[in-house]
Amino acid sequence: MRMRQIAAGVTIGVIGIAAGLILGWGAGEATAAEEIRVGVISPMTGPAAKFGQIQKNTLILASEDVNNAGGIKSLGGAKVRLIFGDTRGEPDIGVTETERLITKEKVHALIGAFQSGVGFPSSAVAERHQIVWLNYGTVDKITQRGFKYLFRAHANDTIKARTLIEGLAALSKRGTPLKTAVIFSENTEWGKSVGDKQKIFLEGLGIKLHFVEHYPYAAADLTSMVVKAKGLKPDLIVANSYLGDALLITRQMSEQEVRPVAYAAGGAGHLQPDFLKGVGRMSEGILVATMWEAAVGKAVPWIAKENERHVARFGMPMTEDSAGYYQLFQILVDSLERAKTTSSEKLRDAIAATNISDINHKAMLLPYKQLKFDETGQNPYATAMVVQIQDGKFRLMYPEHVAEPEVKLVWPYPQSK
Amino acid sequence: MGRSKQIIGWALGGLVLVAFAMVPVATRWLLTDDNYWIQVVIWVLYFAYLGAAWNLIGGFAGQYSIGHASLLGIGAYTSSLLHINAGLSPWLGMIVGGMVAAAIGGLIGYPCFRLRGAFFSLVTIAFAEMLRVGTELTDTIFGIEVNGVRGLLLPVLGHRPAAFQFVDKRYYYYTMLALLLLILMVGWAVKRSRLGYYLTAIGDDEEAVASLGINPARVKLLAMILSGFFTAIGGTFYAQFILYITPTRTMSLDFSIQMVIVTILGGMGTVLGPVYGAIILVPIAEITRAFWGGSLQGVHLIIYGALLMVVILYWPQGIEGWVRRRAVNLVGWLAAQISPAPMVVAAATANVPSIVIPEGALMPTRVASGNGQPLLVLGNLSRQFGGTIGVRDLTLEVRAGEVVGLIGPNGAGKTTVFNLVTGYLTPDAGEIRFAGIDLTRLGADAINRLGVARTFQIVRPFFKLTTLENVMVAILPRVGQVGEARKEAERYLTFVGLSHRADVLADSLSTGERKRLELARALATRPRLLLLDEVTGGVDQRSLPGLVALIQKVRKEGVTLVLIEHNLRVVTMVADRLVMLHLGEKIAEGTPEAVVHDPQVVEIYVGGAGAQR
Amino acid sequence: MLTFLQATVSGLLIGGTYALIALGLNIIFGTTRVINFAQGTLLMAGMFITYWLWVFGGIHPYLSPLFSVPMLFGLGYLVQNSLVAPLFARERAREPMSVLLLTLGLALLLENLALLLFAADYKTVQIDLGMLTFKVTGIIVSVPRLIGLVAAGGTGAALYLFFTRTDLGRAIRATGQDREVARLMGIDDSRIYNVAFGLSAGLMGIAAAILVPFYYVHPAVGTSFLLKAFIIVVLGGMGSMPGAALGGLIVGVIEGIVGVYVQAAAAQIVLFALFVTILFVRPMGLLGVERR
Repeated sequence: MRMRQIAAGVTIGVIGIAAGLILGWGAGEATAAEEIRVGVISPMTGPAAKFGQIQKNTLILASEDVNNAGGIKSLGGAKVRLIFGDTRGEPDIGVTETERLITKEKVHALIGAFQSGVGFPSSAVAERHQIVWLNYGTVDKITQRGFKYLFRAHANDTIKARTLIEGLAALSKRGTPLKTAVIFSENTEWGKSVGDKQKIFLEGLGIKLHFVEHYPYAAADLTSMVVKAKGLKPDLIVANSYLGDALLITRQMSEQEVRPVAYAAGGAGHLQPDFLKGVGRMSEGILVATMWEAAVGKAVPWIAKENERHVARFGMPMTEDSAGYYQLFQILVDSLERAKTTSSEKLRDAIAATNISDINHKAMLLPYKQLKFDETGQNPYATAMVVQIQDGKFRLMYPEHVAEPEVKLVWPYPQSK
Repeated sequence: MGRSKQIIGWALGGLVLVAFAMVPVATRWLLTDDNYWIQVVIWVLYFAYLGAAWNLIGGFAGQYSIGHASLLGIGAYTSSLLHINAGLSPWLGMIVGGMVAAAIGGLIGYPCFRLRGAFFSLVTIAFAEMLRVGTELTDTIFGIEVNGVRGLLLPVLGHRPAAFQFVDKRYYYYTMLALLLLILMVGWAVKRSRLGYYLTAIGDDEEAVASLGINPARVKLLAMILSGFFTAIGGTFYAQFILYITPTRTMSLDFSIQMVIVTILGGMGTVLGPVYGAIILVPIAEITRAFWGGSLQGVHLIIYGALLMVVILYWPQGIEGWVRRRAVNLVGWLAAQISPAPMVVAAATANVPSIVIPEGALMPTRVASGNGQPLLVLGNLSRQFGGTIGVRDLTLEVRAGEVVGLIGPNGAGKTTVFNLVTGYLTPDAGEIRFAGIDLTRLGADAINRLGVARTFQIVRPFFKLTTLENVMVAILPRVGQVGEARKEAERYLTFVGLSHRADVLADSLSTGERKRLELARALATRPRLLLLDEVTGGVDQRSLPGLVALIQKVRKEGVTLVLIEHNLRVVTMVADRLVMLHLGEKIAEGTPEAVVHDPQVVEIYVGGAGAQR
Repeated sequence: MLTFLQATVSGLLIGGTYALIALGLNIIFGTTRVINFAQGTLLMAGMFITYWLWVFGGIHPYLSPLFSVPMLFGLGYLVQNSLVAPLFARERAREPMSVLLLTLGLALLLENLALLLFAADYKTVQIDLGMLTFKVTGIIVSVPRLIGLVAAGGTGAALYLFFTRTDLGRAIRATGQDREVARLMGIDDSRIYNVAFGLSAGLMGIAAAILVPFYYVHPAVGTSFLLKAFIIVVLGGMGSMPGAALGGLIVGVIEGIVGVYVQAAAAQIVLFALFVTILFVRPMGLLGVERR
């Protein structure tokens, strides 16, 4: 009887060990070198899920194009495979997902993480493992850590904040001046950073800032904060929000009848198609800082065409961030072609050596004078612009050279229902 | 046979240890993405460690803290802030963090111990959440950057052992293994020590422990301090392993709950339980994450929740018992293979139905025979419960060396008197003096230390301990050494005639045996005054004479006795004096003869319309 | 001054809904002495039912209790009957800690199951009513929240009548006060427990209907409400229904005022500190009754 028990125990033990080994072995087997694995770190679920979904779509479009055109030619036509990591918008999940993509999936490079609060620590993981991290996310500090494997092609918070505030000041000359302001910022890395930068520029222009409130990123109710602002009757309200909070703030401002002269946003949430859907007419007149608006396609035809393909395929246009991911992907592809190898170090060097100024290059989806990286990994030629929501569409308003000439400014913020 | 079993047991244990030590080498050799699997095993050790640290207060002391992650966070933040801002090596910062957490845990825990079970848990959750939210809101404190919800990124230093940072995960593995062994040894030492006995008893019946002169809160405080210290060290390990800490994750409720689940599944209050729990639970999390990671987060939590429910319902002791029995069987089988010994049929212990008290068994006592001075004085004692009268204006004197019987119908207030004297209730008015000392404001344990002991109407032995260990708990406050306490406990068991049941779990004793155990336990605190609450209750007729003889023996040892008794025959045999209570008031007092024939007493006991309330 | 009034009014409005959730906790605790950690997940389940009814059936949230209340009642009944009752039989008549752990496990299970099935997205129900407000002397009152307050009050009143005027209600109260005696009087205490749990769960269906028009639906939404509900129950007095109502309003107002004058997150800390203080200073709460 006891023998049977022991035999059973040993059998179970052997099966267990075997299972572990098989699992470990199978998963660890390196796939053939004919594949380039690109890890994508994005919020696929959670409060920022809508962003992640569109980023995924845009990248699928881009990678299919590359693969259909023959893959990475300098690597024997190797196909690109996207592997997605869902951060759920949480920094620590981002960290474990990055870890997983690097150690288990053995990706050759990573693009991420949209939310700077997630990107900050996740990119540190990549740096530790010496894997290239192409960063989407505007917080300045991300490129100021002395990392060698991290690169950012688009504008950072300082550029965006300056563009927004200076743009507001310029636009206000056409309407009524702005003397006081209030900033609502979500409390993660991005909100804190962009809020701080906006404060600097506002004070530089002599606008009195009553307060900057950092609200919990996934808050369900922001009435208190809105009521607080109402009491102060500011001329300008700036909101730096992701989607959920952008909806809440706009709605609760309407509910509480808070009517600033200008309602502006630092980006992200207020640029989403779902935001427009969610608030309807209340979006009329909101001014948003952005790094990209499909309307730039008016000046650069291929961009418009690419966007049309996107709409045809997915039923929705590209967004600022998905376009940013697209740009980073194209830079990666371009660098792979030049590096002729997937070796992390050489790939890194190839990226660092990037120098594109052809407006028709696919990496110029966000059009800049030049695509080049300085020693910190930032592209110093990146720019931003200000759009205004009119009739459910984003119209380019600032700076002068990208502004749509026939468009009239909506001022003050009408708070239509 | 016994010795070879011991050797084999140790050998087996050593083998397991070696196996654990070899894991990093084995995985490197067998698997290609060993980097990933090493991490899994590190997490197993990590959660086993945390579970074991929690166990010190949760399993051993029975205080279910569901906010332990806060201590983890304190450790992580302390060592990290010291590292980032003062350049202090995390090895040292770890100790500092441990002490800070121990202090905070003790400070907050101590006043909370008197809250009943679930409320204590709620408070721990509240504190943990306050700490978490507070940290999330704090950007800088006294000029030190805490970074609120965005968390702290520790500087990436590469391979720097002095700074508790490694590139190769194997080093982390061995560090964690060492820490786990440390906490297991601490747990083992605690269990075998005086503290361990106290904790088990407290976990069983805190009030009974107080009646033995032990302050439960102080005992739990010690457990809390230990637990806090080690939990915080786990926090530092986390910080140095991940190099990124946020309040949301390190101090979260989820984390606290996982610590608790690991230990509950494994076996609360056992030394190795948390290890088994972690071995099962962590791989579940990792495997589900590996298979569904990208698309479905949190599958493992579903399994954890289900497992927790299943364990609570069907296996509340956890799996430790099952593993231990298998291991014991294995060791026994192996030993039998090596040195087969003839089977010895142990003689069945004779079932002793009646009490046999060996002649000449001496109970060590410091008490001189009573000399007639008033030992216990109750003056105008009153206590009410809402609208019900417990005791009203009761005045009573018990002289040293006396045996006083307290009789009366149910609800007369007899047990209330005991509770008031022994500190379980505070009087509304009146005084209680023992040897001249005012007892009214003292706690139960302090009163016992002065020399008053009691038994309970409904017997309250410590079920998780053996008969012998039950008595040991009473002796340990006097005699620190466990071995010494054991010897003395044996003498008391012999005195009450239970030495043949010494190693049986108190749970398995009959009512009569339990009564005798309680008596032995109370006597072991060397009281001058002993209050026996219905010691014959539930005891069969045959055992009564033996019990009476035992009471006489106790009296001969010089202990003053007050007995609450319903059995008039017994009490008239034993007592010098009877006091009758009715509706909280004394209505008769005198020699047994006199009181028993008092017409008022007769009417109340025998019946009649006037006897009803 | 207007800001202060506005904050107070907004706090009162939401406080009514908080009170309803706390009421659910109280019914269970008052009857069985169980602290139901799964109360929040029951609320979350109710909110999802309301949401799906609207998305797939076009059923207005305020009509959803017709479906959600019976469903949740049944779920609560089952939980008590099959999961909690066996523990009572075992536990040695002391504070049932293992039941707390059991309900904790249930909460963990349900919340993550919902996460798995419904993803971590924040779903909202857009109805015109959701944005409706009106002004009273300069103070803006949100209509859905006002409806919530009224509904909570009405439910509370209905419950009061139930507990004082009906046999079943009285039986529940009796069992809560003294189980032994109730049993001796012929009351089937295990059935009573089942009904109490079911009732408490069913209440979450009403709370869900109130919340969905102005709150988002998400698997983790239960936990934040649960913690607030605990604070309310302790503040108002465990087992006291008027206590839960009072506690709910107080918590709502504190939240509103601290949120406006300091910060929303700071309100959480204040509430927790209040919770701990009450437990030490006046453990029976404001309106609770001291027990032996």
